[in-house]
Amino acid sequence: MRLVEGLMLRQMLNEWIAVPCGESALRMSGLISMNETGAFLFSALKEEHTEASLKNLLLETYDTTEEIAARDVQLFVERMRRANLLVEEGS
Amino acid sequence: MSSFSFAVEIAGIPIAFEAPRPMAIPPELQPFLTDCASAQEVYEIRLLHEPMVFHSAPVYKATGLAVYACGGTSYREFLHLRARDGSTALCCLGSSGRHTLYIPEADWARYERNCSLSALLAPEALFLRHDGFLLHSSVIRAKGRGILFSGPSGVGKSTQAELWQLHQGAEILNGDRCVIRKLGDRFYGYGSPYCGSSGIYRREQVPICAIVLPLHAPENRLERLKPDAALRRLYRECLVNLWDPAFMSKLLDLLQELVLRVPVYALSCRPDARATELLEQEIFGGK
Repeated sequence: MRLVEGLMLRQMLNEWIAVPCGESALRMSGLISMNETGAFLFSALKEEHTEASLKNLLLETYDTTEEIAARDVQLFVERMRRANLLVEEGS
Repeated sequence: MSSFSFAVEIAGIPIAFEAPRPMAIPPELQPFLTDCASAQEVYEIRLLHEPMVFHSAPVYKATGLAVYACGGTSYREFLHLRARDGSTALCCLGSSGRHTLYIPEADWARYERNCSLSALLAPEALFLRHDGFLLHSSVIRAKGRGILFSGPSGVGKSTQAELWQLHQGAEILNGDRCVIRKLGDRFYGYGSPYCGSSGIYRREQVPICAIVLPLHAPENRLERLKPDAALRRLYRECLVNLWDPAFMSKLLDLLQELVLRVPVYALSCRPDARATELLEQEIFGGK
C-alpha cells in the first residue's frame, strides 16, 4: 500500500497537517492533523509499504516497543483508509 | 485592440477589463467601478470563434470546472458556460498581472446584456496574489470594527448579521463571501461582488476583530477556539485551488497568521438579541 498522489504535509501551529491536493483532493476534502509519529508514517507511505515494514521502520527510528509500534501503524493505516487516501493492491 | 474598457476596485485591488466590443457592466460590479489608469490587474476579453482544444487531460476536474496546464500556464474551463457551438468560457491567469478571459462569440449577446463576469475571474487566485482570499462569510461593521460570521450554508450567518444590524446598530458589508486581506500585520474584511442571494455589494473595508462560527442551538453559548481548531474550521470555508500546491501553501500561511492574530469563536445560538449581547460583551466588553 501507499498514499495517493498529491498530498502535502506541513508543520503548522505545533502539529503536522496533511493537505489533499490534486488527485487526493477528489477523494477527500479538509485537513488531517497528526503527531510526529503520524507524520513519519505519512512520509514513509509515499512509497510502497506493508504494515509490517512500517512497524519495522518505526522500531528502527524510535525508541519504542513492538507492541506500541504495531498499534501506531494500525491506527494510522486505518485512519488513512477511512479517509480514502490509500492505494492498496486490489483496490 | 480593445474597443471598450472599464475598471473596478475589489478589496482595494484595481482591476481593468478590456473588451473587443461594448458590453453591459454587470450589476454586481457597478458599486466597485473606478478609473482604469491605476489598474494592477488587467483582464483582456477575447472572443472564441470555436471550441478551444487541449491536447492533454485536465489536471483537475470537478463539477462545472476543468483545469488544464499548458506550458506553465493554467486555463480554467467553465463547463457550465457552454455555447451552442460547443465552445466554453475560459480564464487564463498570467503571472504578470495580465490575464485573458475567453468568451464564446456565439454567446456574446448574453455577455453584452448581462453576465456574471465576476464569476469568471478566478478571484481566489487573483486575491491570493495580493495576500487575500475569499471566506464563505457575512461581514459586518460594528463600532468601526469587523466581525465575520462564517460557516456552511444554513448555519445562521445571515441571521446573526441581521440580528447585529437590528440590535447592535451594525452595518452589513457583505452577505456571503468576504474577501480577507492582510495589509501590514493586520487583517481586513472587504465587501465584494460575491454576495450570494443577499444582494449586498459594498465597496468598503473594515479591520477584522473577530471571526464567529455560528450554529443553531437551543441555548446561546460562546467558546473561543484554539488556533489549530480554528484553522481547520476556517479552511473548510475558503475558496481553494486544490490542484495548485503553491496556492494551497500560501493560503495556509495566511490562515495560520489569521488564527494567531484574530480570535475565532464557536457561537451556539438562538436567533435572538441575546446571542448578539453575548458576543458583544466578549468582543467589546459592553463598551
